[in-house]
Amino acid sequence: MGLIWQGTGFVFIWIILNQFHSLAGWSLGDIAFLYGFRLLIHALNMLIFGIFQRVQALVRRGEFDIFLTRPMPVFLQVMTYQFPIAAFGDLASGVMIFVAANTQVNIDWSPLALLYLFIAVIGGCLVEASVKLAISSLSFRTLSTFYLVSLFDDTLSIAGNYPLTIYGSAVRFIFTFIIPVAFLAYFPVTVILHRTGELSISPYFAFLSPLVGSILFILAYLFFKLELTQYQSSGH
Amino acid sequence: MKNRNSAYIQFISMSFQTTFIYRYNVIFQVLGVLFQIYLLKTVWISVYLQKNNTSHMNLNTLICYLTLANLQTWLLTPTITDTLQQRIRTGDIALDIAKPVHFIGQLSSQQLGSTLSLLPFLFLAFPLALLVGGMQLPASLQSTILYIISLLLAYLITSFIGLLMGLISFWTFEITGIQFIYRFVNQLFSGALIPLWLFPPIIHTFANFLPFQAVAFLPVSIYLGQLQGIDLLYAFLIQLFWAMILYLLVQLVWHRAKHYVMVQGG
Repeated sequence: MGLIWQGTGFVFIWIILNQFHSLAGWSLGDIAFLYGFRLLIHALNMLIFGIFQRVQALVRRGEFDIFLTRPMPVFLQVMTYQFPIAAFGDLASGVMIFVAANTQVNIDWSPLALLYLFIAVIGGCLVEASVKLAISSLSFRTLSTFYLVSLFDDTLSIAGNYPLTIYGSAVRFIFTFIIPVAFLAYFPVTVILHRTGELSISPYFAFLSPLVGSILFILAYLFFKLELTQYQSSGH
Repeated sequence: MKNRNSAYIQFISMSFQTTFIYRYNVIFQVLGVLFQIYLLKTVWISVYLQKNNTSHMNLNTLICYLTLANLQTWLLTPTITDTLQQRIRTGDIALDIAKPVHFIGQLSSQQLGSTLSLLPFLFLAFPLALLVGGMQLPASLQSTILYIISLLLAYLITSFIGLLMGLISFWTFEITGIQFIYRFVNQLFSGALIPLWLFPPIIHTFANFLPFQAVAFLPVSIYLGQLQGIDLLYAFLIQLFWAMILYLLVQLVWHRAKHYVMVQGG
């Protein structure tokens, strides 16, 4: 379902920029790059951590309990439970779109820039994973989080495709410090595109996005373990 | 005659109540629509502030357009497709066909009940929609009446499309691909994201040949009084055309499906 919005979302922006030529100072190429970057992160996230969205279903079907009986950390068990082959397709299209978008912008890919790209992608992946992990962990206590996850998923993917500057200051605050959408793709991309001047907060925040991602992930992991101790099986 | 009507009312009522069992699903859908309205408004304000010409409508009218078009597109989403596909897959469809009530009539009643059940949610969400988007009163009393007629036609069109997609399940159980394409194309060409006249010319021409503009763009334009005279007449003709064509298609496909089912021994 999220993928549909990916498609219409980009066509939407393409048609608008066809007429209006720039959005908050970002050209179509810039937006395409942001888009491709975010897709790449999303695909990578699906590949590695995608299975955690299934936790809710596993709990409901009573299949989760078996993880508790095995001597391996539950987190690792869930992560290796199933390999989402389908995610490779997402990854392939993510890479293709990112590479295509790259032709639209002038980036000097120095070794340093490439290194930052690498770290930023991982960082973004951790940001996305941490939010989804935290929500999935709620299903240990309250059984039905499926629609909440879908809603968050869609909101994140849609909101994260645009430069943060289009939002009012209240919403910008929310998307930075409450639901960390900004750290996922927008901030790292402003660094790569040398656009940190347009940020209303210190560029250091943007630059350190991967670090923020790592911290968020650790917090989400701890939350996962905490909720696990509260786990009440759906019974069988 | 009386028995048949009360049977239809039963279908409407059952379908109406089913929605409330899945109310959280609907609530989250509504939240999604509200967020989409907010985002569209934000992006459009952002681009409008840059360009100096005002094109066809001023900003407030545009925001009203987006709010109404998105709420409407959501309200008119056909649910009968999934219902029908499920029944066909489980084989329960045989029971439905065997009932002494006209099959397409049953389905239409179910769809009606389902759409009506969304109205309470819509009323509750409306204040929030005003907050994240914006609304204006209809352009005139005439616009209001014409809008209601246009809305009903739009409902017929989306229902028929939904029925057609569902009926295809008789031949192929997997219609998720078709639904995927439908949602994509509908979102884009209904005008919920972008008013049709802001499309590049080629795409605009293409959109004119599709029924989707009848879902949101035409009715909402009528509401706002954007279409007058010959354009207004033309809009209604387009809607009537699609409603009739789709109705005929539904009858045709159902006719073929009936034969197909009998051949299968069902």
